[in-house]
Amino acid sequence: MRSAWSLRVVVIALLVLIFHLDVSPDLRIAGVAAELPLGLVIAAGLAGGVERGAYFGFLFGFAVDLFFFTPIGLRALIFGVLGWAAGHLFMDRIEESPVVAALAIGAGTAIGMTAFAGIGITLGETAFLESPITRIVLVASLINAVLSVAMMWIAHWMWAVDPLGQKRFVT
Amino acid sequence: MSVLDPRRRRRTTLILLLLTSITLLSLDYQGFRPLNQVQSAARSIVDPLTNSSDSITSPITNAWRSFTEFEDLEDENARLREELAELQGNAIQASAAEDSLRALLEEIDIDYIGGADTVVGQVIDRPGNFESYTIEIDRGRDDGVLRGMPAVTSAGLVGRVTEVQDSFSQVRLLHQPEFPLGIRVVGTGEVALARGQGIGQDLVVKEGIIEETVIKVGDQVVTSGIEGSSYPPDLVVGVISAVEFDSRLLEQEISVRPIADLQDLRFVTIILWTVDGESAP
Repeated sequence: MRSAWSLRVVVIALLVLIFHLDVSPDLRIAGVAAELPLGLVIAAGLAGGVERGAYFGFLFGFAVDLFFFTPIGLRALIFGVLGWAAGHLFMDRIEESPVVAALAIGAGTAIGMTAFAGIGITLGETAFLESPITRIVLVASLINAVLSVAMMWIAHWMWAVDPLGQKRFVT
Repeated sequence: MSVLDPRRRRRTTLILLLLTSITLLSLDYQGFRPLNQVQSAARSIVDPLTNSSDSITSPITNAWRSFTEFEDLEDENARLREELAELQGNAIQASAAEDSLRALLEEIDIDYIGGADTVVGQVIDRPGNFESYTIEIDRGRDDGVLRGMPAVTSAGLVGRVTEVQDSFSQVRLLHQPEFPLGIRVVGTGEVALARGQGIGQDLVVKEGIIEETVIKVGDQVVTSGIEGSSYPPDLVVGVISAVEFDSRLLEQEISVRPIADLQDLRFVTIILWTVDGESAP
């Protein structure tokens, strides 16, 4: 059933959003908070393919944008493109290996955060220039790479598919 | 019915996403009101959930913070005790000084802001990793906050409200580069325009202070409150931290260190005052 599938996506997105807004600021490592939404979008692309990754990334990015005073559409753009790109890796079945999935999520997080900082600065968020960008990107990427196993599990459950695109659960 | 081949469909998806995102960004820059309404609606749904999840998550986050920040917390605790003792002493002096100031300002026909209505807002800790020249507080239009109102702490001015939604607002802080602020050096009556220089940096006045004006390090600086200024008069800004002479312009360049700690704000007070006299509903 499509409704059950949609419900899972909404529930996961909402839980990750709440965790990101409420818990992440207090669980910093080396002063850096985890960027779970970005990691989840990449995992969603890896597990769900190009279109699911792209649309989920765009909508989830837009939802996260609503809770910040950074330009609305910035995360939607970056998350959408990353979900789309991660979906191409799905076609190469890259996510079947946990190590490769971790590398993909870590690298994707680094690319996403660098793009976020770069586009943000271009759009006038000049305060980003005063941030230790390299440290932030490295630590956040590392955190997401470590959490990649959990993220992939969640993404598989969310889409209810196995890595080859076969339905795992009766929906 | 034509069916796009998968490759073309994927490309179309990407183009669609890019165009929609760019449209959103440009609508946001133009201050498209429906987008703000969507933002307010989303927050009104999610914020209660985040508040109620606090009881579940706070033991975890507290344990983590005590593990990672124990020494910092001990130092902060000691510092706060010292500050409390100092503030208690200052409060007594301030009370007497306020009476004198009120009388003096009335005499020279400047509105006294000390009695203006205020609203205290809690700073919302968003998990942004990148620095920002703004903070977000949990008070908005519903609480009488309007764009342009000054934000202060008990120490002094911290910034100005730049965005207002129904239940939250954005405050732009003094240290933002090129943030303009009309100041007056107490004791000299000299009025000038100070500008922010970035996080942790002093404000700088580059012009307007002539050579003959005697300004010393440690002199106090308040808002000028001259006609058209975005701030009411005599809000404490900071102290002079450096004075240099610009031999090219034959003027003095002064640095002003804000007294309020702009990097560790938990609560700010919004003075319900606007330059055009518009008041809260």
